[in-house]
Amino acid sequence: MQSSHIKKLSLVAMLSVAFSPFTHSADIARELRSNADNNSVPENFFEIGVNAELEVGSSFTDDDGKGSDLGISFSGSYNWNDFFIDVGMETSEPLVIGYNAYKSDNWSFDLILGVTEGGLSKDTDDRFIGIIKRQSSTMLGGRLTGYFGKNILQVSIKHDVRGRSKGTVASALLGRNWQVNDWNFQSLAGLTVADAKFNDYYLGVSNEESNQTNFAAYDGKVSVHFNSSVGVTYPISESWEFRAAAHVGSDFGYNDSPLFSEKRDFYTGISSSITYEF
Amino acid sequence: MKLTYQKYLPILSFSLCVTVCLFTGSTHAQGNNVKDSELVGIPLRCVALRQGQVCYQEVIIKWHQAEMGNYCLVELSSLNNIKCWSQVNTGEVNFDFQSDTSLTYGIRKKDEQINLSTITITVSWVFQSSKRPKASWKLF
Repeated sequence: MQSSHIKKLSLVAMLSVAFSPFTHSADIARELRSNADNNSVPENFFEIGVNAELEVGSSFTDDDGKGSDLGISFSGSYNWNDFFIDVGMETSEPLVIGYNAYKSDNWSFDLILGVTEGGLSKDTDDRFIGIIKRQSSTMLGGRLTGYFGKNILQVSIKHDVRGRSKGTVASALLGRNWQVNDWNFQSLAGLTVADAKFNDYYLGVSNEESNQTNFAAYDGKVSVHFNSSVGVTYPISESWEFRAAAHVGSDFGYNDSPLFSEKRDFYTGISSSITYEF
Repeated sequence: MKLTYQKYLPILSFSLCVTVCLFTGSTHAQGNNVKDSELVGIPLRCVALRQGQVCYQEVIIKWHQAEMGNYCLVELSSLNNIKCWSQVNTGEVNFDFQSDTSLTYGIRKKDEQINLSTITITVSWVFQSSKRPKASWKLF
């Protein structure tokens, strides 16, 4: 979640508005991290942690596209009769309400409704004075998850039913975990496709905005992002766990927007955290 | 959700490291004194990420008996000898604990079945596993 002093934040936080790695579907990241069994009862949980991140990539605010952060993160999930509420998971929506419509040994299908965080505004940076504030989108869609041994495949499609962007985002992710002694490794790789409407709302510059700012007019286009990560989780005690991860992905395509102050074709990053499980 | 505080980066990084060191250090800082007829294990707990996973832990078990003799340290569920000693009244063994359940070890006189003393290495976990019932379409 972004604070009001958003321009002080790194590109890591900035890009998470709508385009951070795996933000369009990746709640399977937690399943991989915690080595969850596909036939397990969904877990109610709340966790809070301290995390440190270093990232290099495209940025709206940083001229060099390099950022570091140390912060506090929290997330949780509550499940009741196949309904669930996820808060602060690794998706583009900080709050997701869903219903597990189907579950078999190998497949699961969820209907999901989530609200994304907002986008750019004049509070982001003085450069954006004159840019109309991008509001959050309410994404309604479905996600299908397949379990094949230690591999998890997830495809999803979501559409903005609130009508602000009227955009559609689809993604496909493949993840796997494996254990080496008490170190639990996991990897994720995926593609995310955002349609022109979605990108145009968040990254486009209208003629009116162009006239009031130094940005050239720009129409958003369909974009395809590649995301990947490798991480490890180590149980320190029954309540504490240590995590570390490295991320690599593509930024090209959507970062053609003049709103970016630094454009890089690829992003890389590392992160680590210590998390307390309640 | 994430709150970021870049200016506290050095302080919090140091705190993070200290926390890890304290946690890892605490597992090795217990039970160095071995009294008569006693087994001491260091550590006594192995933590896996999820229930059902094999937990891995390097364990040191020390024992002491009043009488000199031939003794064996036995894992009691499989009755496997971990190590045997001859004509001693104290011993120490370092081995790789690997199990998805808690295991109890006993010190016995060689070729006897009476446990002179026992100790349990407990397997615990961060995430519990509980199977869900078979299901099918619920909406359509």
